[in-house]
Amino acid sequence: MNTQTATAQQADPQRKSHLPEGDRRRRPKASGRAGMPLARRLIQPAFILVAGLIMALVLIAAQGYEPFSTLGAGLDYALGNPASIARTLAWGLPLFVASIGVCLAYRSGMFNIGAEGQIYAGAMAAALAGAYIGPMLSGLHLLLCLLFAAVVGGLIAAGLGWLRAAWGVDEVLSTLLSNYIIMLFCAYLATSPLRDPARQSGTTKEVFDTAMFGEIMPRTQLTSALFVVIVLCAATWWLSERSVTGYRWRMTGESPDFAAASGISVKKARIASMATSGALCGIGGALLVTASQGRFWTEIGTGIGWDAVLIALISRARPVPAIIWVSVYCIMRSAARGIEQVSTVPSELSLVLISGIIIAAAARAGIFSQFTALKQRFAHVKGH
Amino acid sequence: MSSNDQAAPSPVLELQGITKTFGPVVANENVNFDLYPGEIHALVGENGAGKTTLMRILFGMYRPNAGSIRLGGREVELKKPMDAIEHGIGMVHQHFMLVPSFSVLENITLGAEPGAGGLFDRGRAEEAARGPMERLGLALDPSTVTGSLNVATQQKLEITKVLYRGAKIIILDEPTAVLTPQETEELFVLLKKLAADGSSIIFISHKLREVFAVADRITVLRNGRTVSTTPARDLDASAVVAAMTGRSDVNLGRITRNAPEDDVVLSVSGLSTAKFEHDAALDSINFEVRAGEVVGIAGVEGNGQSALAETLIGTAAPLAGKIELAGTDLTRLAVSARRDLGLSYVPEDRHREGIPINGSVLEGLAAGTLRRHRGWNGLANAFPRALQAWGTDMISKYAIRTSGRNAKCHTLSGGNQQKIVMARELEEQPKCIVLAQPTRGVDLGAIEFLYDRIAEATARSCAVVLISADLDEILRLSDRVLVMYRGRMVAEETATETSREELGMHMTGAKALGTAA
Repeated sequence: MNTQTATAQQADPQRKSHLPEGDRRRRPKASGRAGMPLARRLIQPAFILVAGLIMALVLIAAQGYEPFSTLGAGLDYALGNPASIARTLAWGLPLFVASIGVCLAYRSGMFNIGAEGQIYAGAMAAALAGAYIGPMLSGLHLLLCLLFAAVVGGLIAAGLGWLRAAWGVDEVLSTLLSNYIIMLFCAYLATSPLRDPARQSGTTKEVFDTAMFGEIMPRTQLTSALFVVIVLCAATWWLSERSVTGYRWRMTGESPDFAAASGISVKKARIASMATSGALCGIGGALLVTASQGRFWTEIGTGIGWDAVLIALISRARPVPAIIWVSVYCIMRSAARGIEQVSTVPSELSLVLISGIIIAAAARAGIFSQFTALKQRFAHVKGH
Repeated sequence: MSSNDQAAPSPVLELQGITKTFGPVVANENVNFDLYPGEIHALVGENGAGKTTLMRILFGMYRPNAGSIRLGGREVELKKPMDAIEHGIGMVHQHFMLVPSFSVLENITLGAEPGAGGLFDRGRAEEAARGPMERLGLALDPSTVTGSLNVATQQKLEITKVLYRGAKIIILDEPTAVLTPQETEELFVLLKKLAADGSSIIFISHKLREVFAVADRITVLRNGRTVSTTPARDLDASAVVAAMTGRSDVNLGRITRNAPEDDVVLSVSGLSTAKFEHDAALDSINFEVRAGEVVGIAGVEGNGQSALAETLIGTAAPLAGKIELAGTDLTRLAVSARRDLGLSYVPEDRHREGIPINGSVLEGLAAGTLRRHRGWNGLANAFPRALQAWGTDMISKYAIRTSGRNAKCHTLSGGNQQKIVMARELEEQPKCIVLAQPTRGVDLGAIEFLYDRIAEATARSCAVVLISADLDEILRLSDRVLVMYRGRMVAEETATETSREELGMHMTGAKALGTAA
């Protein structure tokens, strides 16, 4: 932040443009692409992490354990050897895909908080495609499962995007509420018409083996889905940050009036970015089935859709920071589980830590001003 | 009431040797400024000359690196705006600092509410606000909701706020930017009255006509330094322009251009729209623009000019009527299709529509090129080397002052932002370009540059629709002038044969004639 922004008296955060005209033009010739040297950009995230670590140490000490060695044991559990790294990563694979998916929609100004529902829908679609179609060539079967999941997730999100573009139904509301509709509908399917009769609880039939990703490291649950995730992350990054389409979506999100006046179809951009976002969330859900659970059950999502929304907010919808934050998130979860094994500190510690870190990061990322902007949209204030 | 050397009243305010730097950037360097009781002192200069910085120092928002501030002969230190307010300095910002949902009374007293124990004493507040409101001739119910007032009244409310706080020195930062010519005149009468009552006023502007209409003395800043402080009666416009720009060859007269050709490029007939949120509805508008012709659209803002611009480019849909470009009917086409057929558009709200304010210069420049990608090309690299090089070329061709093509648009001055818009739109080689308020908030040097580019475009047969609230601009550029009033075209004049006064009459609807088809 420079002096001007810090002292600017503007009440409205969106009117950055009216900073003192007097000083703007002759600002030093520093700015590279991001405007700040890399080292300075890393200071604040590093600070947040250090603050999180200190919080962890205090909590562990409060339980009467030696903080450093306990924390060390936890980190060792998460990152100590290749197998533990693989285990840490395996849990996070669906979250990577869902997070960049939410980022993508957010980049075009669509706040897709329906990720959880789209994950459930994707998981259901993949579980059905895996259990009722096949068995067939494994690669083909997996492709089919992911494709089904992508189409279902994409159609749901596109529909919600269309409601916004065509009828002005605010997507914050529609995506939020769609979660409950979809999750409860999936629960109905899994407990009633599509229930696996061989089991007591609400699950669907187990998928064929050809619809499961193979482990690439024994006893770590890390499967070849890793490569799918890497490809999807890279492709999404290109789409969002480098491609012509990404340019249109970003302009639609950041300056919708500019986009409209320069001939970008704002409606199309919103619907298309929502569709892609929903497709990615759907694939995230499919990975829950095909890379780990092997079937759909009523609690399969465990809230990773909400985690994805939070990560998209913290990383300000940029794919690379989102990927970094998902990694951090995975390590924290895994370390908390490790701490639980060597002490009586419950693994819920990770939830406390994650919440603390999110609050710290939220302050940095200006999430509160983003929410203010959202509120303004409800209030329909135009102009000043 | 001007500074009178014989009587030698002592200045109420003296700024001496003020220097302010932001990192390596020198915003003010050894600036001197003084103000006498009952005086209106204009502070003029181009964007970036340091006017705003100087006033922010005076209002306690910035601390100077060197120099002194003396109020009534005593040196003071202003650490925060509250200090300045306590010393009787009030500032009316360019962008109003009013809470739209509050009542007039609540806004006036906000921050210094009378009352005790955390309770708002409405009676005392009304009592205290009455004086300042009467001084400004503001006959308003104090319980009116502020957001429902028009812009000119809101501005008076800002001044009332300042007076309520007991200001003796009033700073007005570009106060006329949001006003119509009539409202501007009213404001000037008001300011002169306030000065006659003993208030001292600092009037910041870059509109010379206004400065000469209202100021007793004029101080010119250029590149952060004081160039001159002179009584207004000893100066003329060209001398002030020369001082502001450091050049003596700035053209303030009519722009020389080729004569228009015969073939009609843009033809609008029977165009009507629904009521706009902040503008009148169009009511069967008819006009034609020929190749190489500039048609000026004059009018007080809010009489349908924004509606016309948006309907022409296609961001708003008409209810009835037809828009034709070189024989092709555009009425039902989307913005991108209209642009592909050769229509260009410089929007009036630069920050919202003209540039991606948080995007890069290149992202702003390349919108035209990127619009043309179709189908799978949408997945191609948006900014390949060739396009980046083109962006750099445009920056030098249009003399855009920026640290580079990847600089964020909001770091540029208004004039340079507008050059981005003009570069993008003119490089499409349009058949017709719609210019809405093309030089609002742009400094003189850049205005001249932009006018030359418009003249070049007409030389290659581009038809120009020039929508402007600035009559000087219209008279300097146009061949014909159309006047809009309440969504209708009420008059047509030839630019070289009409006058500001005549157009002003048309603008108020006083002399409504039949429309020219």
